[in-house]
Parts: sequence; structure tokens; C-alpha cells
Amino acid sequence: MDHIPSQPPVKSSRGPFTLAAGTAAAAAATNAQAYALGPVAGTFAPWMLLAVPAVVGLWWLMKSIPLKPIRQAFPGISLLFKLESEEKTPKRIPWWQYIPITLASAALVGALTRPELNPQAPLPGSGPVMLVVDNGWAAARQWQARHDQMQQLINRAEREGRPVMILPTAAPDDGSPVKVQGPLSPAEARQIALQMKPLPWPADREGALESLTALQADKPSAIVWLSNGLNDKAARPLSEKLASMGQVTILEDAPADSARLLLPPETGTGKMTVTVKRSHTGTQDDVQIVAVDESGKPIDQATATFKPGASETQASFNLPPEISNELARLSIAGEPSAAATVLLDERWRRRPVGVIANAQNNAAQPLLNESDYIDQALNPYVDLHQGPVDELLKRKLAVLVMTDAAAVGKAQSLKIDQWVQEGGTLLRFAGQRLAAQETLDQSLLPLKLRQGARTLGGNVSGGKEGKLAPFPSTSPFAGIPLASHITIKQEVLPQPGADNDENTWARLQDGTPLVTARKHGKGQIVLFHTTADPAWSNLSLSGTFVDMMRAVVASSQGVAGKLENTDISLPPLKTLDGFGRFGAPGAGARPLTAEALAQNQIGPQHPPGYYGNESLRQALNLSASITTIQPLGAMPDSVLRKTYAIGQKERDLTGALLGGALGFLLLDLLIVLYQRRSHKGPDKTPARKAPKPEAGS
Amino acid sequence: MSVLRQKLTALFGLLGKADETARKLPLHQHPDIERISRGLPLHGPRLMKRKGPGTEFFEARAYAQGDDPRRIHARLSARRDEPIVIEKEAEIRQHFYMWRDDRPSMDFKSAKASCSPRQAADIMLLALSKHIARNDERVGLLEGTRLTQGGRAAEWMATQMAELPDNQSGAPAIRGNLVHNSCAVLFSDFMMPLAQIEKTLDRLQASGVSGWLVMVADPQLIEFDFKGDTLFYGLNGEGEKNFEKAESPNLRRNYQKELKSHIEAVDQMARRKGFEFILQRTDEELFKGLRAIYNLEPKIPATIMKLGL
Repeated sequence: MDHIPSQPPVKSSRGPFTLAAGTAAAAAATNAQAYALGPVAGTFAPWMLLAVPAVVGLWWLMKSIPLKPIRQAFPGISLLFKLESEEKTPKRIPWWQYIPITLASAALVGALTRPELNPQAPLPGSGPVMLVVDNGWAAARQWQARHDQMQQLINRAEREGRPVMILPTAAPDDGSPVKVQGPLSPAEARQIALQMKPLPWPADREGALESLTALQADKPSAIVWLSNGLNDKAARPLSEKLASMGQVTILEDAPADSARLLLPPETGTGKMTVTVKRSHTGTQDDVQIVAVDESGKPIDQATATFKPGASETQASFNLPPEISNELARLSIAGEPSAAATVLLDERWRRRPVGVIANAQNNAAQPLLNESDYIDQALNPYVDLHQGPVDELLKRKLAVLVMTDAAAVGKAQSLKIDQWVQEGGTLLRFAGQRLAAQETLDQSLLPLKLRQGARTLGGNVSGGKEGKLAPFPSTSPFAGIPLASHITIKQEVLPQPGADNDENTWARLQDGTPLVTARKHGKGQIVLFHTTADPAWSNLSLSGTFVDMMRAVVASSQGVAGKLENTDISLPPLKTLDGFGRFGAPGAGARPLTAEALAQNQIGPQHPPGYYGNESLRQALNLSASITTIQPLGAMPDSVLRKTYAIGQKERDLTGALLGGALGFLLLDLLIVLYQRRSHKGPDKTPARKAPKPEAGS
Repeated sequence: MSVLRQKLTALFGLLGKADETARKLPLHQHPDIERISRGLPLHGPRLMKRKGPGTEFFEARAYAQGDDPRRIHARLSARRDEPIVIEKEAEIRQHFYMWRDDRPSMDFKSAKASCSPRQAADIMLLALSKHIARNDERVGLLEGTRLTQGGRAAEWMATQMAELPDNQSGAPAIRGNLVHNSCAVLFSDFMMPLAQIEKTLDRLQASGVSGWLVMVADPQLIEFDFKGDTLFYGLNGEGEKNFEKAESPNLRRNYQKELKSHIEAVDQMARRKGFEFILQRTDEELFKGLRAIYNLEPKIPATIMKLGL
């Protein structure tokens, strides 16, 4: 048994419950000894034993006083006077009646020793206690364990009469910096701990380090760092700073409980393959990924398996395009965390695209078909359909591709016109027929064209073959790398002055437009001034063509405020909290700029979630901004490292024992009541005074 | 309260309502009184066992000098061949005196009974009075000064009883002169010293009165069904006694033995003084005790004789 040193009487901050303080003081004053019985430990002083005989003695005394008998009027009393009551029972209490009262006093004595179940070691030192809490995204998975641990530490600090300081390492959602809170009373600390939640951005350990450096108050002597188990460049400096202030204990998750990351699938590939990462490599582990639609209904499930020693793995969803287009969200099953959730938007959807194909298409000679080059460029990324116009327009299409060979009649072109005005994107390619103005129909072109085609590389153009100029920043093609070998040999030209910066998406180096576009109603018409096949240029053989085609498809959203306009910023629609649940945007959330989107800047200003409006929304995913996750590295020697004790809560049994004592006393009372049940109430017949002397005899 | 309502209440047996109505009624209008009195048999005048005016045949004798010649019985004279005169048995209209014990112990009512001995005795007394008066005989209170007869006897008796002064001595305070050869009916629980009862009976016997002692007893007085540590006390100021285990079978048996001895002693003493003893339990039909006066019911239930065995 350890002999704990006497401590001065403590002032408990919880006013009404002073039994704890009083008993602690009394125990301390009489040199109480600590004891341990299995998982239970407490302090015991010999005088406590006196409680047992005291209580039992008092009880015996009360029971020895005889009960008042029931008063009963009886007319035959004169006959009773002739009788002797035979059974003079000595008022002895049966042995079993001693049991409840003895147990009650034993429970009372037990409560006086303040026993604790699964007691933890007392906190080192005697100054304030500091809790450093990593409450970033990585804490969400095992948040309950952290929460319980905080409560236990605060309880322990309260018992030892020490103030508490709390340092959450993730920036608060109102955007203010990380700051030490305290010194606080245990009650205040408990309140703060109760309201603490994991936040959907990484912990800011540098900010924590700064706030520690600026700390003016008493230095804490016992520091517990409830870490998220992940390493970053500020982890070691922070631990060294903490170690310089007091005794540090770091709590980490067990490897099986450490945080995991679900990375978004690649966009535009049409495939749904996700990568899952973990910080600890160790045993084999299976992870379920669930795909749900907008309403939260699960659509599909895939399993990813970590091999032993691997820190990442993959899983794929094989769904037909109609179904995969409905997916809104992917998440790791059973892991409520913003990093285990991926929100999907249009970028991951395969859009339906129709290519007008006539009977003339030469199926036997695929390389001669323009539509085949379209197919090659778009097919992995979109849901491609080929057929006559009437058939295609029956479907819901995002883009309708009209190659030069496509022969479209008057009625059909009216239908196409109608369709574009309703929001569709018409993508046309130039060629011999367009140049010859056989099918010239201004309503289906972005601008007026000149008849004929311009040939580059011939004598007229001075021998230069057309090279593409870099795409303007206002163009949907902005940022697409140009392959240097692309040359345009022939193209159609607009009427002089018809082209301008607004409607030109791509130009040649000499300034002539290559791709023009015009809004028409709710939709748009896009024209490539060259052919879709290699007849007039080798554009369609290049990777640039693929990117350009995808950009046209991506631009087919038909709403004002396209993303290529960097001045537009998207307001937050709904954001995720640390547990991956949707909610209203927090106090510090700001609209998302295109730059922030491109760089995936996650923080209190841009929490993960949906930005924009209902018809044009962009998903900002937390996991896309996290490159690697590593376990916490080496720490200074004086630092103790432990894992969270899940389920092994330290419990104060005093209350339970007092309740038990009360229960036994109630049992004793019930026994007494049962024994008295046969006593009916006193007879109410009034007794009169002695009779008057006889009259008239 | 109309007679019709009384009859309806009694007829439909609305017990609760009957009780309530009965309680609100003047005593003489209690529905049970009429019912009980009608259950008693009619009886004729009392025969004197000597010749005198009457209707019952007493003897036939020879005509003597001075007899009224109209009294000669023709048929008998012809048979005996000499003048014969029929003598009738002298009849006398009875006088009945009633008394009900007024001590506090008559108010003792246990849960097993529906009324106290006092209430039972009052009903029986008035029912009997009504019946007697209906038979053209005279009835009055032992402690009163006059007798009455006729239809309103019950009402008159009730009024007389209410006007009497309190008498908690357990013995009737006889004021007037009692008619010789009259009858008395005494209602009490008779839980008093034998000497006291004997004194009363001697007084009555000296006045030429005979009759009946009706002991009106609560069921608990007979059964003694109590439990637990009980302090019994007397309602007439007799004192108190504690029994730790009132449910003890021995105690019950011994008490009932004492009760039986007391009843037997009262019964024997009553007989010696020209009275008969009747036991009426308050949890049994009240007409039983009255019909016992007419020998139509046993005077003491057989169960009493088995007490204490």
C-alpha cells in the first residue's frame, strides 16, 4: 500500500458537494492510508470502522424500544380481566434482521474511504494542469475516447484542487487564432470540454506553439497532450516546448484506431476508383466504402483491403453511367470524419454526349469517319451516343456534336435550334461542306463565316503553317497544355470583324480564330474552324484535342457565371463538420474563389463542403488538401507516451456506495413496515367516563 | 317522509340508500321496523288458568244456584241429563314493558356487523312494540309512566325513549307502578356483573313481572378475532388490559369459555326469576330474536354452546 503524503485541506470548486473535501481533509488530518483491492483503490483511516458499531448500535436501540400496542375498545373487557396473557415473548430481534443494517453501515464506511474503480495515477506536480487537444479532422474517428479522457483528467484535477488550462490546436471556426484558455476552474474547464468538437481542418500546431510562447500565466506542471497521432513539422518543436514547462504525457490512438483518409477519385475519367490512406502500416485491414446519392440512399459499396505493411489501398465502383451520375458522396463506412468523406460534383459525372451519325458514315473505313475521332477523344470520359438527330434529341444530352459530314435537314435544324435555346451545347466542326456553304445556316453557327476555307502553309500565307497560340485566360481551354506539333493546315474564317475576344476560345498564332462560341438562349454553340478528322489538321490526333473536347463538355452547364471567370466567387452552400455531417456554414466561412478552389485551401474560411448555388455547385474536399499522413515521430525522452484507454473509465464509487447504504436502510424500513402491517388502526369507538350512580333502584 | 317512499325503499332493497334514508328518518319510521313486526305471529290474549271472562273453554260444571240460566249449555245438558254450565278461561290483555340498555358499550360496532347493539335493540324494541299494539295489547317503557296501544305505538314509544333522562347504570330506573302479571322485554349486551342483573330481575319479579332478556351482541364479542399487541379497554370505564398476542388461539379459547359460562349463568338465573334468555347477534337478521320470543326460533344459537371447545 502506498502511503500518500498529507495534503493541505482542499477547497473544492463545486460548492454543495463538500463531503468529498471534508472527508479528504479529515482523512488527511488523521494520516489516512491508501489501499488497493483489485481494481478499486481509496484512502482508509481506522476511525472509519467505528461507523459500523455506531450505526448498528443506534439501530438496535431504536428497535429495542417497544412499539405502542393498538388500543381496542371491547365490551367484554370484564371477561378478559379473568384471563392471563400467556405468551410473554421477550422482544428479541431475529438474527437475519441485522443483515440489512450491517450492510448499510458497511457501505457507509466504504463510501467514507472514497474508493475509485480503475484509478489512474495522480497527476505529477502541484501546479495547473494543461490539456493540449488536437481537435482537427484526425480526432473525429475516436472523439469519444478523447472526450472521456478529458473529463477524467478534469475530474482528477478537481479532486487534487488544481486549475486547468486547455489548448485546442485547431483554429476555431470563427477564424480567430489558436489560443490557450485558462487557468480555469474545473467546472469551467468541464463546460469547455463538453462543447469541444473536432473541426474539419488540420490542427495548427505552429499556432499552438506561438500561443504557448506568449503564455503569461503560471506554467503548468502536468501536461497531457491528447494528440491525433499524426506528425507534422511543428510536432517536435511543440513537444519540446511543452517538456520545458512540465511533465508531458502524450496520448495517441492505438494503430487500429488511427485516422484514415479517403481521397477523391480522378475527375473526368468516368471511373470511380478511390484511394484510402492510413498513418499506421501494420496488419491487414478491410475498409468499406459506401457510395450514396443526393438523398443519402446507399447506391453501392466497395471494399478496399490494406495489405500488411501498406499505407494505402484502392477500391473501385463499377456502375453504369446513369447510376454513377447520381452519386453525390463517398464515405468510409462507420467512420464519422470529414476526411473519410468525399463530396462529388459535376466534375465526376460522365455527361451524355450525342454525335450525329448518318447512314453515309463509312463503317468499313473507320479512319475516315470524323465521328470516330470524336469518339476516341471523348469516350472514356463521357457517355457517348451516336445516331440520327431525331433519335439523339429524344435523350437528355449535354452536348450535341455535329461534324461536317452530318447532313441535317431544315426541320432537324429547327429542332436543334430549339434544343440549344433550352440549354444544350452544340459543337460543330468545319469541313468542305461548311466551307462551300452548302449547309450554311446562321442560326447554327456562332458567327458569320466567309465562304471558302483558308489554306495555311501555302504560298498565300507566306509558308507558315498555323500554330496554336496559348489559350486566353477567359477561355474554357485556359490552362490546357499545348502540344507543340499541332499544325492547322486549313480552316474556315469568320466575316471580318465578326470575331472578338469574348466569343473566341482559341486562336492561331497569327490571331485568326480557331474555336469560337456564342450563347444562344440558355445554351451555346461552339465551332471548331477545322475538321474533326486529320483532313485539315492534326489537332484531332493530339492530347490537346482530348482536353479541349473535355473542356467543351465541362462548359456545357448552360448557366451564367462560368468557372473560367476568375472574378466570380462561390458562396458556401452547405459545409461539413468534423464528423462529416452537413450543416449551415460556420461563422468564419467565406466565398470560394477559383484560386482557392484550384489550390484546395481548407480552413476556417473554407471548410469542406459545397460552394456555389444549387444549379452550379463545386465540391471542396478536405482529403484532397492532405498529401500524406504520418504517425507521430520521436519525442523528447522526458515525454511519456500512452494510448487512449477506451472503455476503462475511472469511476468514483462513493456515490454508488452511499446509494447502496440508502437502499439497505430502505430494505430495513420495508421489513419493519411489513411486520407492522397486521396492526389495524386504533378503534374509533369513544370510551366514556365511569357510569353515573344507579337511578331509581 | 311518505309511507310510499319507505315501502319503495324496503321493496327495492337499495341497501345503501335504505340505510341512508333510514338514518335520516325518525327512528320509528325505520323500514326494518315494519318489516320485522309483520314477520311476527299474531297472538291472542293470555289465559289465566282459572275461570273468568274469555273465549277459551275452561271447564263444564253442574248448574248452581245463582247462575244465570242463559249460561246453561243445551247440548251438554241433554247429554248429561242435567243442567250444565260452561266456564271460560279467564283472559287478560297483556301489558308489555320495554327497556334498552343505555351504556356506552351498546355503541360498540365491529366491522363484521352492520349496526351497533344499540341500533339493533332500538329496531327490535320498536318492531315488537308495534306488533304488540297491533294486537290490541298495551305497551310502554319500563322507565316510563304510561302504556299505549293502537296504531301509533311505535311513534309514541320512540318519543318516550327520546324524552327519557340518560341512564348509563345498566339497570332500568323504574318510576311508575308495574301492572301485576305483565311482561317485560329487556334489551342489553348483559356484559355486567351477575349480581347487577339479579338485582334487576328480583325487582321485576317482586312486581309480578316476567318476560325475556334479549342479549344483543356484536359478532366480535363472541368471536374475539383480534391480532397483534393490543391494549383492550372498556367503554363503560371498566379499565384496560394488554395482550401481546391477541391472535393467540389459547387466548381466544379461554375467552370464549368465559363468555359461555357467563351466558349460561345469566340464562339459569333468568329462568329462576321467571325470565327467558335470548341471544341476538347484530350480524344476523333481527327478527330472529323476536321470533324466539314466540318460540319460533332457537333462543340461543347452537354455536354458542360450542364455544370454547
